[in-house]
Amino acid sequence: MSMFYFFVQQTLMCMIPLLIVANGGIFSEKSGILNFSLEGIMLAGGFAGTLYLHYVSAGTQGDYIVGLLVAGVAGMIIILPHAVSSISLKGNQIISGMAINLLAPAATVILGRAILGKLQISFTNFYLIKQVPVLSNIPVIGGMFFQMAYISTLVGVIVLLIAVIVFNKTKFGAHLKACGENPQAAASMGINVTRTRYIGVLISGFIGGIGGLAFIVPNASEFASTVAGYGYLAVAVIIFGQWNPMRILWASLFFGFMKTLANTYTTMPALLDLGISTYVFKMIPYLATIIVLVFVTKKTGQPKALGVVYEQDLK
Amino acid sequence: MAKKIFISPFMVTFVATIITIIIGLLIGLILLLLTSGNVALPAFKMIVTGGFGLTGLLNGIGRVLYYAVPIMMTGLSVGFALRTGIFNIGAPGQFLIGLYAGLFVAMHFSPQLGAYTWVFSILAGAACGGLWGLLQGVLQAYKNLNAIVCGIMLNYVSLFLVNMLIRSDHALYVGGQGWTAPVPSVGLLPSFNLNQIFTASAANSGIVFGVIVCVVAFIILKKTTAGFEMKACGLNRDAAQYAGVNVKKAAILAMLLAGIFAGLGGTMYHNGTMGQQYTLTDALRPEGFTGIPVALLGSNHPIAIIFSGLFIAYLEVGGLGMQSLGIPSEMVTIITSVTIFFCSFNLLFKKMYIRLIGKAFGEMI
Repeated sequence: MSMFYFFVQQTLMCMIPLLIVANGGIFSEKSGILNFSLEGIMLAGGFAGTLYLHYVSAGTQGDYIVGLLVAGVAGMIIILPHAVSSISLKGNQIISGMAINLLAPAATVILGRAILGKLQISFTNFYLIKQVPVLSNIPVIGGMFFQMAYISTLVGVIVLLIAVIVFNKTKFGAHLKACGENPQAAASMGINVTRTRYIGVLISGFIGGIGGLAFIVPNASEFASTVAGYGYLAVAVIIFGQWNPMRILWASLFFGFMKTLANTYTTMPALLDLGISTYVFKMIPYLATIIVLVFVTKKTGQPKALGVVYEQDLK
Repeated sequence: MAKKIFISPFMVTFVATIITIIIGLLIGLILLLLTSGNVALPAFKMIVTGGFGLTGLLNGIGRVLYYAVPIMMTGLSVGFALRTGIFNIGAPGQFLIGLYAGLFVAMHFSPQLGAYTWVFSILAGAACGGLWGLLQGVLQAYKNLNAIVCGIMLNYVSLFLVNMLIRSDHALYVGGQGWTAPVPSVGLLPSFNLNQIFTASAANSGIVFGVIVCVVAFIILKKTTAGFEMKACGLNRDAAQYAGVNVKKAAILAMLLAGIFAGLGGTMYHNGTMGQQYTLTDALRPEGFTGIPVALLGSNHPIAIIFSGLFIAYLEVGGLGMQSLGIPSEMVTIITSVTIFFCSFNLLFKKMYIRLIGKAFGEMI
């Protein structure tokens, strides 16, 4: 049983960052602006958040939450050029998104060196919660979610709930979707397309930045200008999850499960005895995603105006 | 007449690209001034002059020629696919498959192939890279897989596949060291004496082949029906289909060719010079990703990609030289990415330039 709990806990550490970042990304994509720059956003968030944790030594959960907010602000800052380029200057959204992804790792190296004088930003990980009072005693569920957990799991649940509610229940969510499906029609209904899209992109930067730190703290012991390609995976999860928050939950669970299997198979005698190369296990999450996508429905759910330059008056 | 030359599509794109490069360099300079104090100006000079002062002009050129080969090929791979409307983020995977295939042939068949080993290495790299691209193309065209997801996933699959194949192959893997054995000398690309002309550099015939491949790609796009159909799909897929183009076939062909180009890059990089050893890690090699800025800076034009590949290699060599001043070579990446960022609204610079030319020539017409 303890093996099972360990597996669930590991899966959570892997899937929560994907869940957060992918759900952040759709705030931009639902409004019609491609967000290919999630890797760069995560790096900015991871950098700023880790830097904050490096300087605060008290190590309370409150510090971690403030760190997550700092990370979110950093994500917003780095996404801003992409927003200006794609919304105001009507630039090519893939190119500016890619530029952010190229810029971020280099910028974190240069800034880290200018501020701390070294390439790695260390932090002491005080943030693992061994037992949540009361809740951890619930049978099964307590072991799965309330022992050896990070507060980012809760953040992931909150982000998911916010995304579900915003897109299904609020006027703002309807406006975002309208801008992504048919901006001309949205404008004729009196929606300010430019403003709505800016808000959408900035929200995705904020949530993506949070996801950056939520990746670093459980999965790394220091920030070394990498988030291991998770931003690109989040882009894949968005498409896999067909731009739908709940489906994104299942997509990130699927990926997190497969990835955990690849990371922890050595602790499972049944799998270890098969004598299969470690690389096969490492390959499985990616291969499985392709196979699932081959057999899964052809419906995409992609916003119709995604990546299309919006001209105020269509001539 | 003069006006016609100035506003020809080539001139407009060229000027717009130069403007973006200058902006990128200026922002790099500002960052250097902010972060590096008194070494900022020497460091900036290092980038602009490609660090040639350190090792001599000829050696510097040789180093640029050497670094340009892999990124020119991956740049061509990305750019060619983009002309067909496909964002080939799978280039790093195709690069790696090509690298492995070339290495495999060189290590296993050099006794039989003798002095021609390198030729077969290159052919194997092109063929296997092409097949990997083809696989991605088929998944995209017939199974409706999104090109970005498919490329990202196949990149990782190829990474672990190559690591597994190398690890289980005693001719390739140096046990315990974590990297591959060096390529035997018959497996290396001929130097064409370039390494001696450009004193003591690693320059080799790869750059000659690279330029030839770019020219071939240009001819395919410009002069063949298949090339025309691919370009038509890139401009407007629905219109191309309506006009009778088999869009699926065009997309698959484009991915096959893109895979061949990236695969060639992998082989020509690894079999390019003596002593290359591939290290087994869980991260993809950067050359494939660098192909993206090379393609974008070259406006996805095969001939322009020759020059953008050389330019980014030039910046990289300068960046390496900058390390002697204690500045991380990442500064070069910042300059490149800022340049690429401004490429995204290149259209704005083009319009500004055309208006400016229009004013300058206004009275004469």
